[in-house]
Amino acid sequence: MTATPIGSGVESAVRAQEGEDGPRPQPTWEKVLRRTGRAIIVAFWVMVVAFMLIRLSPGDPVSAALGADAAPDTVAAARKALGLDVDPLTQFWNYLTGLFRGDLGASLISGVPVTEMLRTNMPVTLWLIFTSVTMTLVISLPLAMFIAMARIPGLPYLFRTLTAIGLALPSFLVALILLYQFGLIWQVAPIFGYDPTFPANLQYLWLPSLVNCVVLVPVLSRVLYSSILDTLEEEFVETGVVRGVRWNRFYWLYVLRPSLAPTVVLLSYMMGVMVGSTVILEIIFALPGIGRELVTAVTMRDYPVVQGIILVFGILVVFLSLIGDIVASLLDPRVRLT
Amino acid sequence: MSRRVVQLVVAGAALAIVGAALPQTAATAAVGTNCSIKNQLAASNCQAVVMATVSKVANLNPMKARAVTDYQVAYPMQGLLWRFDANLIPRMDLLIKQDVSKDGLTIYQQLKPNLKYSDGTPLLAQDVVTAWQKQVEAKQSSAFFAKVSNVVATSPTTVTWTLKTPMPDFNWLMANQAMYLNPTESLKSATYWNAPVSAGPMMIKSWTPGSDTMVQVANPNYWAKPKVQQITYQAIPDAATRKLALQAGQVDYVFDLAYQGVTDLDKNTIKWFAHALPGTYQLTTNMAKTTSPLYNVKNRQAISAAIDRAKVAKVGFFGTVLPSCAQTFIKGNPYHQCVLPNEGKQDLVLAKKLLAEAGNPSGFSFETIVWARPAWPEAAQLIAQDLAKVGITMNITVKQDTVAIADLNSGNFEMQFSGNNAPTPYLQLANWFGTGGAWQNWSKVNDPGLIAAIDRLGSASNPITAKAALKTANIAAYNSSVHIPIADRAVISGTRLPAGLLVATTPGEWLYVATTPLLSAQRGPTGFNTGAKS
Repeated sequence: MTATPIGSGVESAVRAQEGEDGPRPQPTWEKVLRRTGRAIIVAFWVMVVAFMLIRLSPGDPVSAALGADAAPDTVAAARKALGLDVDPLTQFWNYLTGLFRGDLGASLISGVPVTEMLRTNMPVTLWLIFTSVTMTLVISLPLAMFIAMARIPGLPYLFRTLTAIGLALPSFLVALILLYQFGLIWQVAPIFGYDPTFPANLQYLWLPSLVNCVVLVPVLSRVLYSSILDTLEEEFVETGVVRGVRWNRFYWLYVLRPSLAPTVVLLSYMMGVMVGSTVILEIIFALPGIGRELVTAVTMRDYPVVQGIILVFGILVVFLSLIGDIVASLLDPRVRLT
Repeated sequence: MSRRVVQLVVAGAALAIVGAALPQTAATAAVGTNCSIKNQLAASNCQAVVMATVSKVANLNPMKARAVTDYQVAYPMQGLLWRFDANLIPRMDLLIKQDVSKDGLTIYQQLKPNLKYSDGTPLLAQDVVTAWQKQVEAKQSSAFFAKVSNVVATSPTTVTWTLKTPMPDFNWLMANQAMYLNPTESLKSATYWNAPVSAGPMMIKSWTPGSDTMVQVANPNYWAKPKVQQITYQAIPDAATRKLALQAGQVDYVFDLAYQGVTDLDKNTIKWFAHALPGTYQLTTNMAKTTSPLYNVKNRQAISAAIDRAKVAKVGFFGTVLPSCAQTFIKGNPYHQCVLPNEGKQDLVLAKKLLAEAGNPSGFSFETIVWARPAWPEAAQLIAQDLAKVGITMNITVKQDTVAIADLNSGNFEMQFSGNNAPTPYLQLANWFGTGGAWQNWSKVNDPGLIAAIDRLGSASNPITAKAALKTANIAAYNSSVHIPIADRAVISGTRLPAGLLVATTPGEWLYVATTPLLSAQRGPTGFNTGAKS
């Protein structure tokens, strides 16, 4: 890499990166509040969709759940429990006020309140996502950085080939292979189950998280790798070289940080997707997560549970996306929060 | 901020590594590691065992039970007057005496003295009456009780049953889940089934509705001592994971293993076996769909004739079952007789003839729902191939049990490939065709002549008349062909436990737990019946 003349615009960008003079461009509170407001509106529509779901589903949900031959008083009791015995406007009002009281109804099958199911099962899914993302970052960041910076002939092709293979492998197959190897052959991971206490839960989570990494690492590391290559073309990077910035400062401020924004946005999106897609791992590893609960509820036509979980999933995805956007704008001044 | 991000990432990774390195505890703590299939005497070491179930417990209330696990965990912790032993023979459990009047119309029962539920509540004769009343009121299993006209508690420890006609299979009914005993007063509580008490060998130690795990311990108020002191039921929904858990020694008993790969299991530590079940795989028609080609009996009989049952049994179910040649099961039943044309063998000429008579010489098409159990979809696929040979197109949709049952309930099906079982042919046929039977409700079959034939079977006074009545009922059932029998039933299970300690009978719905003294030492049925093992 050779030094090139530095223009005043580049110096300004470097200063902005390093925060050496003047306030660094950051998302204003006004913009954050505006973006949050939009997220709340989207969350409201998620809530409306969740409400409509049970009402617009084909056939009568009570008959579907209890059977056509259920006794009339049993059907009437179930309709009352679901709040279906009043007009739609009153139903929506009751639904809204119930939400603010933290009342999402109760399972038609087990009678367990939906909030209780969320309290018990949601942390498992969130923990699985958290450990998956942590492991993904730990693997992806140095991997992408190394591939991009090492300039070893042929290495990028090998990297692309291996990540393409990783992306092509179905999760359930990877899960079974890893479970067989780590759980049965090497016996370093439990085959099934979960302990809700921390850090004991990590011994049940690391293997399913590793399975998630097989898909997440290729995606993130490839995006990050491309992003780093783009960043390396920027003039301020050459400036850093010319100025003889310390290596750790150079890699973080000049290369990695400006390259992270698309990765963070992608990560927030993938975390949203993972909220639903972890169900396969929850079934194979017998983890009592909320995704498995949703599938069970759908198969059992347990509408209050389906409605409650979809509502929480939707709101979670909306706010994960919001957080991703805010963090991306914090990391890279070129990203604007609109 | 950069440093904080790096610290957080490193801390997260470190925690994951530490967590992974922690000794395994919860999953393996309760496994009966001292148990061995090779050592019968080691049974006393199996104090705490883990059983892998196909799903978590949804509801302990037998009226609301949806999945096989609900029935499985309930059987050891429910009180019963008669209880099935490991060989599916009913034995006196909470009864000390049962007498039948000479005309067979009155049955006198006397409970064991000082019976108590696990919480100390006395078990009274009124609780027996309540169990019967609940079934009749809920119209559940009411076909089973069609012959019962009244039940009275004549004292706190005596019950008198009045029957419309004699019922040789009465004891089999008593050992059924329809007769679970619970305190009459407690049943009035809306939350009773979240923590029911027990009059059976085991009782709940810990369970939260909706959780993956239930722990049962020996019930100190039960008259016999269970050999297993604790059973942990762990839901493992994936069949491959259940197999791995058994191989890794993290569970002791697995119900419903996949057929493929069971022969790879280590024979020194694991025994796998196919439960021979008193039941039948069958195709069930929805007779409420009057515009369906299946509404025509000739078309249904054409389907029956076109199926190569031997191939389905040998290939589809890996030779673990026998092909059917009647509506009721074969294995172990001395009254069984083949009544299907050509002994149930594939007869494509007959199938084509029947199709022509039905006005469908070039065949027809229909939809079939198949339950997502191991090997069922593959077996259904073989049937579809057979039917294609005579121009019948069977479109298959595979659904989870609960969804398929919901479709049965709502009438949203044309035909279903499923399995059903009962401890006796009479109870099975009553369930399929009798008014108030579960499968009669679903299929909407209403055949008075068939019902009368089944009723005669249920009241047969001796083995000869029973055999004749069963043949008549089976012929009438074929003439109806609403349920098309395919083969006997079987489920694959695997165990690391000594033989007979824990056995899932009748596809696992009734879990047998060995006791001291053994249940099989108690009085069994007298006289004759149409039961599988009589």
